[in-house]
Amino acid sequence: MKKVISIFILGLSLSLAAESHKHSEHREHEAHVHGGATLNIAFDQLKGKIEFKGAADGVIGFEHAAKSDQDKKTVADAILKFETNISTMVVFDTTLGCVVSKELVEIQAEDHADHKDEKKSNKHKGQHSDFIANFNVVCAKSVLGSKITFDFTPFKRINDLDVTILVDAVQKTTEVKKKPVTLEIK
Amino acid sequence: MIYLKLALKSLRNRIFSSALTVISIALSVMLLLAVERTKRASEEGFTQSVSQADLLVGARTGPLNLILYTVFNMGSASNNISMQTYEDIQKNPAVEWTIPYSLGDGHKGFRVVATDENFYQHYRFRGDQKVEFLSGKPALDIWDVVVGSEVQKKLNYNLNDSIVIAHGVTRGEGIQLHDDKPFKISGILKPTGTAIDQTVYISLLGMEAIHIDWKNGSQPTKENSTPQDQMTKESIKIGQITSFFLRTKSRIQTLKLQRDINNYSEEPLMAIIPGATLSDLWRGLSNIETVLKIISFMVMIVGLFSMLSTILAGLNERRREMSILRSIGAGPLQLCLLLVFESAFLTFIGLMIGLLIELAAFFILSGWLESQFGFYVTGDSVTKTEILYLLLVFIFGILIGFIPAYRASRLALKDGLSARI
Amino acid sequence: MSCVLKNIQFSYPHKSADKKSGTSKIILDIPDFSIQKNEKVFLFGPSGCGKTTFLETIAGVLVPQSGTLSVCGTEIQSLSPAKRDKLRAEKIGYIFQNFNLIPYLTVQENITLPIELNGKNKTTNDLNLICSELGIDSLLNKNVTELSIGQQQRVAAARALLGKPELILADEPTSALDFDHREKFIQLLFKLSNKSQTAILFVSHDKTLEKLFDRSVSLTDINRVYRK
Repeated sequence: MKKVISIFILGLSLSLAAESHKHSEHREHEAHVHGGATLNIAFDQLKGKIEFKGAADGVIGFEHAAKSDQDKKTVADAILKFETNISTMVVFDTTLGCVVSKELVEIQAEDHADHKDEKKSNKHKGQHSDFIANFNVVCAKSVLGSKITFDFTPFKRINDLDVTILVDAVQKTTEVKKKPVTLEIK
Repeated sequence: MIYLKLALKSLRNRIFSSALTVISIALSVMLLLAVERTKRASEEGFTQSVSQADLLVGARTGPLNLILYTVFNMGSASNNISMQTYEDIQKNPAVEWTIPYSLGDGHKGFRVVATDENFYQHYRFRGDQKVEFLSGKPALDIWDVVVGSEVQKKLNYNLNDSIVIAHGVTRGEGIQLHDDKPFKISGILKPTGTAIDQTVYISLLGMEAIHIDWKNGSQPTKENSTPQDQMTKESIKIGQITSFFLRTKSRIQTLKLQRDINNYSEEPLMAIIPGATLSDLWRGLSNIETVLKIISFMVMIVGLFSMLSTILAGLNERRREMSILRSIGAGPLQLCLLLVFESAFLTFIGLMIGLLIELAAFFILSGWLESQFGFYVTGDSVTKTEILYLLLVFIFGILIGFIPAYRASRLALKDGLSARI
Repeated sequence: MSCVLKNIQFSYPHKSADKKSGTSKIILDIPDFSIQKNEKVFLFGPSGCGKTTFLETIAGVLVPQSGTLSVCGTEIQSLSPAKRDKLRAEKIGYIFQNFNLIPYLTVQENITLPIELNGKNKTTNDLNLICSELGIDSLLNKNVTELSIGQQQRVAAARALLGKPELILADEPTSALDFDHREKFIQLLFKLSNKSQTAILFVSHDKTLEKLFDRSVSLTDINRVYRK
């Protein structure tokens, strides 16, 4: 096995190195990428959690603090839109009888400590913000072996969603670009 | 029924070309299935190298790098994790168990992993497979060493043999040897088909012990090194480890813990979900598999087209046969069905033979493949995907049969009853 | 009446058509032709005058562009192709010049093939009777490739006769046989066909056989294409 793998690795090391680099930026440093977002889903038996985090720009359309009434309305609308659309964006098998309920939906201004050192970011301080949405899921049957479909087309500005799924021993990731993606949990 | 008999007798009459057609289809089916099975086995071997561990934690680096050096012994860690941090995370109430790994040394081309009893207790691969002993017991004492099955086979080790660990080299022969402090083989592991087979396991204490008195990366001289017999478990203090696996009590906690570890302020750490990273990695590798699959589909198509050309070539010789059938009441449609049945039949037999050969080959060779390549095939012997492929090929074979069938019925109409040949 | 033709015109469509004039060359133009039940008719004509086309028209393999053709009381051109195939299988036997048999079947399988194709019951009695009359009863389990041409033609005759057709169309079935065997073959054919009241339309260019038949017809006489 290892021999096979090492050949694979050698052959692909360059492209993968580039790939992994991009990913590490995404996840570990939580780099703020407009259009990018992460979606984590975890399940313990029948209870699960959906955690969405992405640049606020992708959901709302801007990232500065909402001051005008117009802005505030936009924010409120976006939050409502996200909440009402969650069950069409993360679609569980209907036979599982999953019920998704909101836990928390908010916009978090980023307090990037290292940004302060940069002259440029001083000006833009507080302008980056993240949209965070957490939901609780309760299903009647285990999601193991079923399929979950991710369809974030309602939010056109989210075009690179990294999805991680943890269900018992199953650990999966997938990337959702513009088109809906279906992932089998097994 | 009579048409079936006619078709079969006709095929038997052309046994040589029919057999060649069947063989070419069988071989291409076999190739297609073998590629599919290889893909499954390598995916399995790859993504199932470690299971049930929710997080893999190491110093901050790329997730790929972390998984490669921890699980597959490729590349090396850029930094270590202090023992204090490890213990700190271990104490987190969300944590069920942890398996520490301390890496960096080697033994005759195999890598040395220093770990503790948790490894033997909690490490799982391919679902729920445990690390099991062929003989002996875990390496828990300072000078104990456990060898993987391949290490044992290649170096022909027995229990209680004395071995020396090389410093800093995980590949090839070491230059600096910890030859003042030999280890004794306390256990030999059963084959697992994962990187475990090519690994030498010692205790964290042993790893620490062989590096006591080392200064600035150089070996201590004989005079100022602590003699082996003076070292006790109590006198050794473990300073650092390379990475560790971690299982949380619940999956929901995993996500939070991962965030917390990634934001750990005392030390730059990274926590990844091993299965997820492995499947990510596999997706990258699966390009090769896609290429292989495309090639085998091409071979399949070539096989089917060779059937087409054989039947078409035979058709001219059989115009007379068609005329006779027509004169005694068989219509163009019946002739058409006769030929479609012929290619369907050839395809079916080819498929079955191909499937049988492939299954038999894997059945017979599985032991050898396991021992030589760590090539494990678990689960169904025929998967849904494979059945789908076979069905696809069958349908394609039938569709291809319509080409000579159409031609034959056209010829029959054109020739009337008196094809001159 | 086994077969009645009235004002039949036939031309091969498309391929043999004269492209410039846009119409096909008429091959058959027969105002009137009929065969009575159990009548043995000798049809002769030079090569290329449309004998085979004529037979295939009667057999319902080729469909005339105009006129009426009834075979065994059924108007053939109004039938669907599948019904024509069925009619042919039931009412008409066909004997070719040569290569009458399917090479990978045994003699018996060849003889019973039309009956099996049409889902009729095998009549072992008839089979044995016909085969012994034709002197091929000892060959039944042989491979047809082992047979002489004379034997093959007799097997073909047996196949044509076994279904007790109303009409046997024979397309130069004796041309591959030597002279002695020709007469013998025809006499055997007559003997057996009389039993089942089967009419025979026998096509040949060999006029020496003419005397054996009830009636002799020249295709060039009845075909208006050749009258000009």
